Amino acid sequence: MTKSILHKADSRGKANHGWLLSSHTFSFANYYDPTRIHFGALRVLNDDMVKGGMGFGQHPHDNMEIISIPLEGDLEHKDSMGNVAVIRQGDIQVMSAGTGIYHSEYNHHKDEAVKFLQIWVFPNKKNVTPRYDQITLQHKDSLNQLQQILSPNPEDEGVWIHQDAWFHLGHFEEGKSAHYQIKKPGNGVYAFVLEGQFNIDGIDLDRRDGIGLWELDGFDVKATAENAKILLMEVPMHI
Amino acid sequence: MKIFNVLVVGKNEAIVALLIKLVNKYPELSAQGTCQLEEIPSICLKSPLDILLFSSGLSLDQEKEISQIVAQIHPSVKIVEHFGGGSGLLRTELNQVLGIELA
Repeated sequence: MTKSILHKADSRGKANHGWLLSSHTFSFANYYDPTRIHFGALRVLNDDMVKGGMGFGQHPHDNMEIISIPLEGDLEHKDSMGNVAVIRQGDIQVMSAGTGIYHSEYNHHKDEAVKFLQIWVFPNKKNVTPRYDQITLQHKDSLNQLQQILSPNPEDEGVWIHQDAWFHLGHFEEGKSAHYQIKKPGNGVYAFVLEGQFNIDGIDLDRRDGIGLWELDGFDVKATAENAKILLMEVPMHI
Repeated sequence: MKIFNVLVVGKNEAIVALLIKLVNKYPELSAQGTCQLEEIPSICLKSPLDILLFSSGLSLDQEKEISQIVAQIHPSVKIVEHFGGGSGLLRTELNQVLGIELA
């Protein structure tokens, strides 16, 4: 029987640093809730807004698969591997931090905010060689269907990470639906509503609500509002 | 107030240094660290130790060996496997192992 856990948008931890507004689905930095540490290998789901001209100065990461998805605006990235890039709405960026990497992330614009998701997934292998990648997604591929944007396989669609994880993005018109089939038995899926409203497994979800589902083979995702967008993150439940 | 002593061990010097700095920001904690594994026994003999915090770059065998060495000198030491390399997850990891909420 399918198990689920619902995280309503307003139950998330909040951080307001003036230049940065962040909503944390799971415990992060000063937000600590012992009942909300992770969903399987999904450890961080931060919904960030950075004011114009501001950002995160150079800081390190290690042993984590870090995925950034801009939702509005553009994010400027520099790292210790020599990568300098602007990640725009419609792109997805991935970093395998492995043995250690330094990077900075700034709002590319001086006068408008950038909104983006920062997602951390525990790696299935520690101390890998750090790597960076980013791709531009084709909007038409997610219209009324689920578009794979991340997998464990370098030759597969989307970016790849060191974990048996698959991410899909869908942009639906009201009343449209799609079926999601679990890629690896035993994995769970964390669904996060980016815009609009959805019904999953009989549960109504509003903007920025999240639901974790496990012990299932698949499920239907149905948009119950216009311009509804959803991110599905399939991850191992045991780390 | 009880002060918990933390030893940070890893292979990336910059990250170990940062973790020491971050841990020492908490008044309940006092941290030192090393990237030189051969220094661990002498550090343990000189200092009390409550938490062994593993940073990146160590193999599973190295982590196991270090855990055994430290536990021989400080049998009640708690082990934290740190992920992420910075402040994001550190407080939660320490809260979980200490069973308290750090300031």
